[in-house]
Amino acid sequence: MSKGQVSTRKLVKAGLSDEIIQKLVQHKLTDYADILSLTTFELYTKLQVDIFTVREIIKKVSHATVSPLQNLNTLWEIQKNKDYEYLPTTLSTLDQYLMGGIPAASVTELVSQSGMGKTQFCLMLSLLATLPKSLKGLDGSVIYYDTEGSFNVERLVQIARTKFSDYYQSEEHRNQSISRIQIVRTTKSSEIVASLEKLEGVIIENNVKLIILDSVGSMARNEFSSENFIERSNVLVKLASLLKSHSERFRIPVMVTNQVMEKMDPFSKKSHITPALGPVWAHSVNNRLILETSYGNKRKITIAKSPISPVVSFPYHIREDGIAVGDPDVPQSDVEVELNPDNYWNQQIFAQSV
Amino acid sequence: HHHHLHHYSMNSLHSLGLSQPIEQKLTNAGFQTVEDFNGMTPVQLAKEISISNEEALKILKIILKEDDSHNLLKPIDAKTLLEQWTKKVPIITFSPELDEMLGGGVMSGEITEFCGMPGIGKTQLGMQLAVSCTMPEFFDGLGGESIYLDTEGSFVLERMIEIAESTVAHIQALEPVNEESREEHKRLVGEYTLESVLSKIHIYRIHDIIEQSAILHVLYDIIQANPKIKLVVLDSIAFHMRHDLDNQAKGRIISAMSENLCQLAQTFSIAIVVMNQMTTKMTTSGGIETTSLVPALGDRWSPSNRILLSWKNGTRTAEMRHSSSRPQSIVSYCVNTEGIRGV
Repeated sequence: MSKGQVSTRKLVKAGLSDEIIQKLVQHKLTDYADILSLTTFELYTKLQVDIFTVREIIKKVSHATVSPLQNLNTLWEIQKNKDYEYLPTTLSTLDQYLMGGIPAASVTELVSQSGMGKTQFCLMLSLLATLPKSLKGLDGSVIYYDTEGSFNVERLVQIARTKFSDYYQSEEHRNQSISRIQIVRTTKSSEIVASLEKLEGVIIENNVKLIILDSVGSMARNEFSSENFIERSNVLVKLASLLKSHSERFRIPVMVTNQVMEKMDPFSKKSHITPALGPVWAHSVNNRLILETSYGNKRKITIAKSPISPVVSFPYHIREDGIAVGDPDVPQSDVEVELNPDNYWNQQIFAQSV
Repeated sequence: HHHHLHHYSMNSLHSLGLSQPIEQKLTNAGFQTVEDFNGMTPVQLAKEISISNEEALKILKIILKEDDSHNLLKPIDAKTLLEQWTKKVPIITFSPELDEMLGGGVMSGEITEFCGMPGIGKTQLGMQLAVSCTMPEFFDGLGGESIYLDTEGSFVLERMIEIAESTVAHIQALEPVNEESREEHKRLVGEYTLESVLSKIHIYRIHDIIEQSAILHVLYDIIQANPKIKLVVLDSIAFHMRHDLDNQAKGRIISAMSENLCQLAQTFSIAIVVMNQMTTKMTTSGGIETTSLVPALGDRWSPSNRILLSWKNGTRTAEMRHSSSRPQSIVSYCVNTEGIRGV
């Protein structure tokens, strides 16, 4: 095949006749997506063949596009023999409700106002992903997209030293963990999209076991004004789709952080805090965790969206070794779990009074 | 498709058992081969050889060897429709109030849409229905298989297993109705295991709108090859719809999907359940611009039944927004470790 010649491999694979392939190539329809994005009528007009033949073409191309359905019993057998399908967070209550930890093969969003510990949560997860399996880690690398410059190496080392003091006594262990965390600094969504599109090779070569994007909320709101709603939606959907694709293909967890915005109820004229980026983004993530204030100066984590957990909240606090479950003033064994808090359903986050 | 015309000699016309006078009339009018009857309608033939319309129709049917109306739409009488409708077995949600609102459960031959905000439990409902569909007919289920189309990656096998196990436990807890059915009851209960339920549910992960389009085209062949399939869950329909398409392009895609799904529901008499998300809609009324949440895909998408899922006063509610056969109403239901249940 000479350079510049179009590949007809896919069309041949679909079982189309030479005559039809010739016509398709003439109209630059060489990929399944090209053909399936046209309506029956558009194809009929372009190819100048009868409608039955058009339907045949669509059928053959559709069959070539899809893979076979998977029977759940077979899927279960396959997954029984697999490794961790989650990243344990060491937050016992959270791991309990999420049936292990941050789930693999899905995108988990972490939402909160600033100063609630989002980035520290991400630093902790990054460390955990690099730990050996004996310490319940994933023994792999981390790709950390940092859009706000909030990645803090000092804090990372502090968490490592205090949380896993024995393991990180060894300088070799410290260096190994830290060198496995790859930080990508950027403020542009286009750069992140481009990076994600080419990330497969990196994931394979570096045994990447966790991808973090901190923060999609601030990046999207800085880059797109409120008039560019459609453009913003498209970028967000594209980002979510790429992240999901990598998480599913390699069965790794993906964490994305988001900020909050104020929303006014048109009828009561009262405003409340809600996750930023609206319903389009809310539908795009598989799991949503919210860090919010509780009574007094206390804080709580809410599992707000999860296919396997009910909506629950429980207290957390920040200490030297990162995030921990519970109220520091109450013994560890008494973690109070609140089921189905109403505020989430009104899309409302408990906010610190301004 | 063309009729397969057979070449008859006059002898063959004779062997068709037509009466002598008729045969004579045909011969006199010059009818020798079957091609001579091409394009003839019963009324034309009747006029040409002076016979009644009914007789002409009979002749044409015999000669053309097929019922000419096989290519045309066959009407179905309302009585048959009623019989079919009363025989329909609904797919239950396990919430008695929700099932009642749906007319017993999700019905075959129809498209039922559940829409709501993220996290309200659409996937939970989809998974429960996929399992309910597999319950044996003996236990008022459909004894069928389900196809689950996952567009968002929200399907989690562990949760499906949880729901399936609870349904299996429910079946196992049932008592035989009478002595005669005891044997069969025990046998069917023994057969209804977690593995057998899972083997009856098929999943497909849809990654983009092209794949969605492709799988809907292919579903026809899949379901035709496996008549045990009684339910298709599409979770969710609007997720891959691109936002930058103009309304015309969007409209065409939606119409094509709608047509595809309707055809599947009716041709194979299966239940199609579609999950839909909410989207913001700007409306100006009285000079004030307000945003409201409406089901995605707009007016071009109009399922037979539309149920809105939301959270009101501390419970999950389902509201029948519009239906071709059910009245508007609103009920409460809950989601727990077993799946969907009543309050």
